[in-house]
Amino acid sequence: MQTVGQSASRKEAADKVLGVAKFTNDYIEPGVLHAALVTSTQAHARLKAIDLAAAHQAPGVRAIVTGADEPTYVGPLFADRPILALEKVRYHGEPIAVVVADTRAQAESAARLVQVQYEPLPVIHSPSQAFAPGCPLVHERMNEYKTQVVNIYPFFNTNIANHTKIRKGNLQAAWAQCQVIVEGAFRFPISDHAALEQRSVRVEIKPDGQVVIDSATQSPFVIKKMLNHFFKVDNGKITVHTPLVGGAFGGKGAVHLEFIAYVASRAVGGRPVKLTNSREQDMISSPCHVGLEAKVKLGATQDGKLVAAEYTYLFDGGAYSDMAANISKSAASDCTGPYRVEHVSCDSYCLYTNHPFCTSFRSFGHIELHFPMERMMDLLAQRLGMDPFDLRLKNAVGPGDTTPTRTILSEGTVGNVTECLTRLRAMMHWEEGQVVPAGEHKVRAKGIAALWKTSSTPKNAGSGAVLTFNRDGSVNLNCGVVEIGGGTKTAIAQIAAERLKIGLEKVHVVMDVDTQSSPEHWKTVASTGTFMAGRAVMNACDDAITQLTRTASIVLRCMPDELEVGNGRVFLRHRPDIYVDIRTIALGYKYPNGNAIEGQVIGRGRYVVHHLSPMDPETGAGNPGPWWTVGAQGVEIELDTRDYTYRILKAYTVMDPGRVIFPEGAKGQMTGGMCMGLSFAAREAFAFDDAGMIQNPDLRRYKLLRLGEQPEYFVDFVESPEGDGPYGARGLGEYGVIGMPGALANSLSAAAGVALNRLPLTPEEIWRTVRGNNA
Amino acid sequence: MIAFEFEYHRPTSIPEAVRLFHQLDQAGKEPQYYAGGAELICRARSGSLHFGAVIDIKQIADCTVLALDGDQIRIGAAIPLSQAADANLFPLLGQAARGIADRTVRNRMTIGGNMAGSSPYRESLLPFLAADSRVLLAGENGTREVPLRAICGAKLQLASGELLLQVITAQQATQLPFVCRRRTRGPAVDYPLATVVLLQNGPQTQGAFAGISPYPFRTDAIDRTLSDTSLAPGRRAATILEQLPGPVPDDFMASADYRRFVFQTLVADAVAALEGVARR
Repeated sequence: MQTVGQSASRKEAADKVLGVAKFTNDYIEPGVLHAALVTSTQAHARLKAIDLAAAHQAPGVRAIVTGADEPTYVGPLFADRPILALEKVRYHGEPIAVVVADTRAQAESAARLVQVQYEPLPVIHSPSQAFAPGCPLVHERMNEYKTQVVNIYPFFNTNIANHTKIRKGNLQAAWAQCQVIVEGAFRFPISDHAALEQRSVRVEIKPDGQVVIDSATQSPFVIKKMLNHFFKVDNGKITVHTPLVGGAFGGKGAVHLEFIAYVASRAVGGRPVKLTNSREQDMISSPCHVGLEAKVKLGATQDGKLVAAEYTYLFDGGAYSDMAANISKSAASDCTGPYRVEHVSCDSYCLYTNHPFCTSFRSFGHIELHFPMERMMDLLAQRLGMDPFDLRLKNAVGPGDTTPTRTILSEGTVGNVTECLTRLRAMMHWEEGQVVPAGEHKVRAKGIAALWKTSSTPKNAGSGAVLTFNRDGSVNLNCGVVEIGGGTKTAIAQIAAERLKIGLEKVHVVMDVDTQSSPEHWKTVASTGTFMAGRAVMNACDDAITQLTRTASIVLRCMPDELEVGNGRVFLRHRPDIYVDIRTIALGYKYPNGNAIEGQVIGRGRYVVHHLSPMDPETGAGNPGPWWTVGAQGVEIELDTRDYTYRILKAYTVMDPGRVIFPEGAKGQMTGGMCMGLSFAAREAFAFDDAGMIQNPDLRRYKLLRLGEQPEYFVDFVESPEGDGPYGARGLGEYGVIGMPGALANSLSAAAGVALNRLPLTPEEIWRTVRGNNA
Repeated sequence: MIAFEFEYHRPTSIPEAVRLFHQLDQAGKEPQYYAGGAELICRARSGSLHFGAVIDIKQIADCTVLALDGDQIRIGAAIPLSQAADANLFPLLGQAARGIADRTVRNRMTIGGNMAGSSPYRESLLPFLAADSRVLLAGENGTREVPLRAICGAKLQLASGELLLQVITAQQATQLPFVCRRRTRGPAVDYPLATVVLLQNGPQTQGAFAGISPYPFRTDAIDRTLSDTSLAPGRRAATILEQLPGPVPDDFMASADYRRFVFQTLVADAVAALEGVARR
């Protein structure tokens, strides 16, 4: 029986299809109070006065909390964010106060009655402005904030929240070896995650001090840790419950509303308080996706061998550093893309601006770093007169090569870039030509990108699994991974079925996470769910098998090591006709006379990442993550050369995730990733006016790729197994987005005959670039 | 959600609706006529509009008519855009209406709400402007019928409490050759950077436009340029660009100069296309 590598219906499919599945805000509870946020209508201003009088008089209002009432600074890396604005506001949409009332309508009505007086301050609009000497500060008292982790380097009295350095080889000497040098500047603004489910949280503080939280989060265990750390609640007294999550994309990794709902509940004597974002608040008040300004310089020999690469990244992290500071580090660690470059220098900065604050976004710095790098590879190919595939193939990284952080790659830790590129070339019929005419004013063009990514987890990120048995021999599988829509719970059930050699229908996964009963899983982020929880599940299965064979050995009067488990039985390896059914021993064996032995089997499994090390502050040397999944992606577009409107016709992905556990799920992840990456590249961006106010904080004006606008998708997988992955699997979830901006920009640049180095790639952007070139 | 409370009224006759409006207005209830709610709900959620009462006009028979009446087509203000488009009594209206929002929204959004709303685009006005439609209005002193163009400005010029009942279009005008073109900043479903509606009425080309100005419009001067067949379509488009009645919007969706570029291309194409259609 084989389960891994076969497609199955998702474990939660019926509930979702029939509308029975419940998400955090779907639970309706009598007696719960409702919270609403008062948010900033300025991008940068001193808070002169907050008048709560009218709001306090409004019907149903129980409490109002402001930053001054709860002056606590929080943050996962650098504690720079007051949970509610204190002394000043730093972005449009920043929560200033929370109103608690009997109904949501009452809370929202009262929130509108809160009068805030502002004294405007100069607005910092971009990371380059923030970086310039003498720029006004977003945070005047950085020296008072506390650093939460190693490997973060804020600079006091500047707007720099982090600076990561890579120094590999000898860059200055290397330029002399280069016959061709190309340079480019790139830019994209901050944007949204736009998950279908808005963030939602409910907090209750019980009379005995137990804090019970329901949250739409990727990080239930981090919420526990943070609440303990910043509010001194005993870690064991905090329970976080997370049901199905309706899309997250990194945006639900941050702990944000949880703090606000906690102080709101505390203000009403611990009564349960629910706080759910409106779509508009979900877009701008809660954390967003970073922006970037980048400069890249590549040097190569005449025959196209990359020799030297220099990068400057100015990330727009917005008003608070949250995870943006780590994103700037992660981008630096993989800055070259999947290419062999001996001499590398990278300076990656995370800047404070007066934009909404930013957190993880699907691929954590990699969709960001690959856009400039893959554009540069096409510019270099053009300069060399080389085919874009040939240039990439010539420099494709492989076992024995080192990453920018000097990690030595091996067969077991990196996928096969060459094979991905080779298959992509055939798949998209590259031989037809990159640009072909397609009627009057129309051309069709193709563009490609190669990609890689490691997951910079904490050095001790871990997972756990518990396996219990039912009387029919089926198992219950409990682990701390949140089902955020990626199908991870099904993949780990497949791994359990494979290991126990039982049918997938015999594995019942606990769908919700409850931190009191689910073993800790670091966070459901970084494409590590199937990898880490999968390893823990295999470990739990092995533990259960040990217990089952021990009981069976007594019953079957043999040594445990003579026994094997499969098809619902434990049997003698050399005499399969001598066996005992698992259902008769899994809860203890009972002899015919009623005597019982052993008791129930409980499989315990665990996993922790190993051999990771921090990056050296001066050179970046270190081992940031456990594997490098690689891939190659392509796009075909049709451009109207008169008005620069275009259609995305086809999108391609060839990925090497080591081993595909759940093929249809994996294909869905790739397709969804391509859609998200194309949407981001083609049209997603927050627009700010001169005062830093967001002009499109809703889905009528902030546009996503819609059903009907999607291209035809093509997906293929290369499988070069990961040494320590479950059945050879590496991370996969995020990867579909990574190459899309580069591939789209490369196809449009080829079609329009100009270098398109800014996102989003709107028809106006193409028109402006062409006009600028002609001027 | 709409966080404030408001009254809901559902009159069944025109006089009752108008009377209710004035009563509620005098009582300080800031009443709004309501049919689909697309705009009211959005603006009430965002806090840019407050009302103490809504008056649902969907039970008023005159507001839900959608029929050929003699040689005139009558379309009630409470008719949803998708219903008006599907009925196909006025093919140009159908095409213009299908450009607005998406099907789900058009199932709610009404002709009257779109025409009399506060959006700068209000593209359902364009076919009626081009076709010299008339509107039936109800006020305290009974009903009146006026040319649409007479009340069409930055907003629809209605007296306080005056209710838009119907749009009336000569059937002959709905059968004229037409072209309808619109362009967004990229997405299929989005506000227009420019929408162009042209109707060929004998030698006269009648044009109505949205997106390129702070409000939809039709002007005699532009009609004359459109009708000047001595000029090539591109020349006519360039001339019209200098005849716009208001400033070209310059905002986060598009710069003014890009809008001008889009508009000029769109008008030139539309003029050329209309000549092709009219010749057939």
